[in-house]
Parts: sequence; structure tokens; C-alpha cells
Amino acid sequence: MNSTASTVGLAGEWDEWLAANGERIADLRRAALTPQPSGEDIESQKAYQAALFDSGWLSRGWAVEYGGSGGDAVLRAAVYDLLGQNGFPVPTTVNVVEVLAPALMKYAPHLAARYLPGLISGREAWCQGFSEPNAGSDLASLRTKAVRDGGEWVINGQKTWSTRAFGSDRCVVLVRTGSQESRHRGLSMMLVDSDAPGVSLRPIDEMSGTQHFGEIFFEDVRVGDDRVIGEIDQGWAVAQHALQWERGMFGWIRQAMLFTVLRKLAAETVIDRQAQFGAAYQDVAALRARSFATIEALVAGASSGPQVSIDKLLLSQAERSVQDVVVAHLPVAVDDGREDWAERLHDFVHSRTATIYGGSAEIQRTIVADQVLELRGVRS
Amino acid sequence: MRLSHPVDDGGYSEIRKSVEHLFDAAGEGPSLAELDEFGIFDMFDAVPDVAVPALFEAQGALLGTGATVEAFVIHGLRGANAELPPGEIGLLFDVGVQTLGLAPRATPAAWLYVRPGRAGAFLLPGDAPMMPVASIDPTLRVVKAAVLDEGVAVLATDTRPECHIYIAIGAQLTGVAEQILSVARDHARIREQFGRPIASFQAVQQLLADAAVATASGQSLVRAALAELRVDRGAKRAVFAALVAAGAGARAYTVAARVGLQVLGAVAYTIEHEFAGYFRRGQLLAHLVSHSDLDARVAAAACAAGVPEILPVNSWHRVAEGKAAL
Repeated sequence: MNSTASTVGLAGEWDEWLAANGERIADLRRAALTPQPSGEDIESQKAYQAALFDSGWLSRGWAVEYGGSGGDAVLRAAVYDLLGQNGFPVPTTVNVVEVLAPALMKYAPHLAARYLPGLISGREAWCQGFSEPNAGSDLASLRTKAVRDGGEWVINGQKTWSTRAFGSDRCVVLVRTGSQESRHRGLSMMLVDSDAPGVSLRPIDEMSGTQHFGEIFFEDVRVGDDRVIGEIDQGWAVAQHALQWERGMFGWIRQAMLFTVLRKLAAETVIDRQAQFGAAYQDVAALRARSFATIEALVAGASSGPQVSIDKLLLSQAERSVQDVVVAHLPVAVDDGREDWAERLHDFVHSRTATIYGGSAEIQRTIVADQVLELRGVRS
Repeated sequence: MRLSHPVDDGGYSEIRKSVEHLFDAAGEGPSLAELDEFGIFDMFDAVPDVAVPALFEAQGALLGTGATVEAFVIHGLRGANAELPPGEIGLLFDVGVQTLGLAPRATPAAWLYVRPGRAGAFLLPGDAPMMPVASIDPTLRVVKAAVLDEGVAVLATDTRPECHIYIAIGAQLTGVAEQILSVARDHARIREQFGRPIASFQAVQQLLADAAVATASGQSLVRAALAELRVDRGAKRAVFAALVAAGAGARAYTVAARVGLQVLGAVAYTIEHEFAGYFRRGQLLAHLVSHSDLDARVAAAACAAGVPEILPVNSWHRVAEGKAAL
């Protein structure tokens, strides 16, 4: 399918579809936007995702063999933009799809063929298990181990800060298959079912009032060779590939929503902090222009990785400055009686973490300095 | 140092290399006639998305002078079938309470008067007496104008000249930022303190990364404004995108200048150091686009237009031209 043909006329098609299906999708959208505990949240997101998939919106840009209707990531980006700009946030479960599905397609086609139809359609929600209590920014020091036993892998350890872990159906987990000293060279990526014996998931209560993140515990969890994504001890490459998509496509999904937040603010209030509003607008515009170039590069298979850290820094900046200007006009510390108070409160508090999640701002700056500005060689 | 992704740049590097020669020669830079002979108008026609950034980013990086902005403005006006006076033109900017001009090499036949939010106008020399005025950047000929006459509107309802000037200056400021970043980076690699290059200190690395992010933003938004101009969703949208590009360029310059001076240290405060030239050029260019209230102007324009996004989904240039991997 040609992306040009398939993106032209998208907006008109959306308007028509919305006119016929507006009420039903608005209910699902409202449920998906309401802050709620992790398990309920995932069910709301899945229902919303499935409705948008079944009606042909979120199936675009995925190959037919995975249950999609064809096209590439550029088309997906166009659909996400369309939804976001129209005030229909992309279901948060899709964020994980965008991080994990491309990695699965590239490194484990057999798993992609079997499991992606469920993931893409919203029948399943997955999470990723990368960070650990003692391996955050220093991911290569992670300690969750997979040991060979009787033709299978046996996983023991703990993951944390996994987005929407509690309530997820499966997890893509980065484990150590080499020695502790092997650092990033001794890591492997595996797909584990959440209901497999020995897996337990726990939500983390956050100051935003929700349970965005969760913990995953592995106790003698057995995994077959067919669940390995990529080669054994090559998991770092898979993780890096996934993170590129996270930093590129997630930034793109967010820019559309952030424009909507600014648009709504300008429609509902008098903007009396003009310079602050204008600066936030420019932050979002920069994120949009930059992350679209990233998607193009990813689709062309030409993103070398380090440049995408610039996108992540722009995302962090935009998330914060947009929520700062919203709160400057509509404070959230006390219930102001507006219908969206809980949502605004959550969004503001959650935006504080934008410089931490998906790779901290300090690590992103170090990557830019080391690899884009080529300063790594001079480190003593 | 490459801030953008390693994809096909559509001929940017090649054009940039060739335009750099325009600014290499000492003197006052290329006149309109020399730019025409060079083929800049053909490039603006054929590959605006790469030729415009290549020209103005090179000019910023090399502190070039010449009738480049005028050429880009004229190109836009020709595209809109506006009637143009023959010969060199100067540019006039309303900057707060002052009207400032950038005078070309030869005495201009007319001045293009750019007033934010209003149609551009041509003034004859008698309509606006000029007097030279000192500025922070002695390499540009700045004049102060007393506008006596409103002049002849270029196009009654079209604000294109403003749009082209914002993009051209935004791109030049991005080029200045890029060069400051490059000079500071090179310095950090060889300057040793405490027995090691200062680039090995994380504090210095993080500063340079901030400048890289701001510069990359400038580059992206200049290109987004050009896409908006080409797609033509209306003059208002194009001017708004161009205003954002000017803002992004000014921001890139501001961050890079702060970081650059900090990393280069006191030596960059000397008049001999190349930093001085970049600092001064950036200050003047940012002043001409009223940098101090750009954020507020972006907000006002955004709110008036319903806070639109820049870069229309159906018109991404690479997609439209079939260049994306499909």
C-alpha cells in the first residue's frame, strides 16, 4: 500500500465515521481518560483500542499478516495524529505496541506471526520488563537471570517501573544469560506470559493517584527457546531497537495530544501568560517536527539511534512546559469543580516524571554528548 | 557532528557546500545579480526545502553577508505575481519603537517595509529618510528609518514577505547556533584542566547537549515552516509557521550563545575570538525579529488561529513526493 494514497482524505473519512459512531466511541474514550487503578485502566484501554481497531482505524499501517489492513509506520503516525489532534487520545496500550511490535517483527518473526494479531487488535495488552530496583539508568547492570535447565530457560529476579504491568497479558523481559561482568553483552530478551507459573505482578501506587507503573517478580519461571527474541546474549540490540521506537513514535503520539491540551486551554480560558503559552507551543511544535523526521528515518531503517535521544529531551521539555502553562491558568491543587479536574491533576503530576521515564534526561544528554557530538573518545 | 538522522538529505550537503563559496570571498557578499547568476532562484524553485536551509544556515555559520534574504523575499513575491521595483532592495523592520533597515551594498532603489501582521510595502528612498546607526554587529550596515509614507502595499492581503524574512532569519540564527556549538565542542575536546580535556566532565557535556537539542529544534522548525509555505494552507498559517521558525532560531542561538561562552570561558569574551562575531550577529538578527516578545507573539497568533499544528498530515513532503519508504 502506498502511504500517500492512504493518508490523503483521512481527515474527511474520520469526520464521517465519527458522525456515525460518535456516541459509542466517546463513552469508551471517557473511560480510557478517567484515572483508575491499573487493572481497570488496562481493561478500559483495551476496549477503546479494540473499538478503534475493529472500526478500521488502528488496523492501518500494520501488515495484513498481523491482522492489519496494510501500510507502514508513516500511515500509523498519520492515524495517531488524526486521533490526537481531534481530542481522541491514542489508547495507552498502543504505546507499548509501538515499542514492542517492531522489535518482534525484526528479531522474532515467528513470535510476531503468532502473537501480534492479538496485541495490535487490543485483545491483549503487554508490558516491558527492563528496569530493576538497582538497574535504572545503568540498565546494563541488571540482575534478573535466565539459566539453562532441561532444554528451557528458568528466570528468577525482579523488574520494576514497568508501564501498566499489573493487568497485562504478557511481558517482554530483558534478562541476564551471561555473567554479571558481561554487562550489556550478556543480556537476552524473552517473551513471558503473565499467567505463567512463578510470575507475579504488583501495581505501584503513585502520587498521581494512579498505578501507571508496576513490579514484576519471577520465581523459577520456565520459558522455551521459542520465546527468545533475537539471539541469546544479543538482547541489548533488541532493547536499543525498541527504545528507538519508544523515543520516536511515543513522542509523536504525545505531540498530538499536547496540541490538544493547549487548544483546549486556549478555548476555555483567557491566556494571560502569553509568553509562557508561546514557549510551550514552540516546545510541542519542535517535538512534532523532530519526531516526524524520526519516524521517517525509522521506517527507512536508517535511524542510528543516538539522534533519537534529542527527541526524548524535546518530549520531556514539552510535557513539562505544557502542563506548567495549564496549571498556571487552571490550578489543580484544589478541586475547581470542573469536570476534568481529576484528569488535569493526574496529567500535571505525571508530567513531572517525563524527565525520568524512558531513559532519564541526564542519560539522554550523555548519549547526545557521547555519540552525536562525538565526545566519548575524550573521556578520561 | 550530525544532529539529524542519517538519511538521504535530499541534496542539502551538496547545495550547502556550493553556497559556502558565496560567503567565503571577503567583502560584502553576493548581490542580487550575483545570486541570480549563481542560480539561487532556480534552486529556490526546484528544491526549496533544502536550498533555503542550506543557504541561510551556511550564511549564519560563516557570518556571511549579501542580498540573500532579499533574494528569498523576491522569489516569494514573484511566485505571488507581485509587481517588483528593479534593482537592489533594502529591508525595513518595525522593531518596537524603532524602524531599522538592513542596507544592501549599492544604494537601494526601494525598501521593502515589513510590518508584523500587515501586508508588506515598498517604500522609495524619499518615503523614509535613513540614517546610519551603530549596532552590536559592525559587519552589517544598519540604518534607522523615519517612515514618512506608508508606501505601496506589495500585495493587499498577502503577508508573504514577512513569512520569508522570518524563515530566512530563523535559519541564519540556527546556522549561528550550529557554528557556536561546533566551536565550543572542538574547544572542549582539546582544552585541558585538572589534567584532562574539559569535554570529559559531565557538566560540560550536558551543557553542550542542551545546545545541540536547541539547534536541532531550530533546524526542524525551519523545515516545517518551509513545508507549510509550500503546501500553502493560507498566508496566515504560513506566517504563523514562519514566526515559530524565527522563534526556534532565536532560541537555538540564545541557548548556544549561553552554552558557548560558558564552555569557551573568558577567552571567548575577547574581541579577537571568533565567538564575538557569532554572538554579535545573533544578537542583531534576533533583535530584528523582536526576539524579546516572540513567545508572546507566537501565543497570540496561535490562539487567534485556534492553536493549529504545523506540518499537515496529508502533506508531509517526503510522503507526498513518494520519498518515504512505502
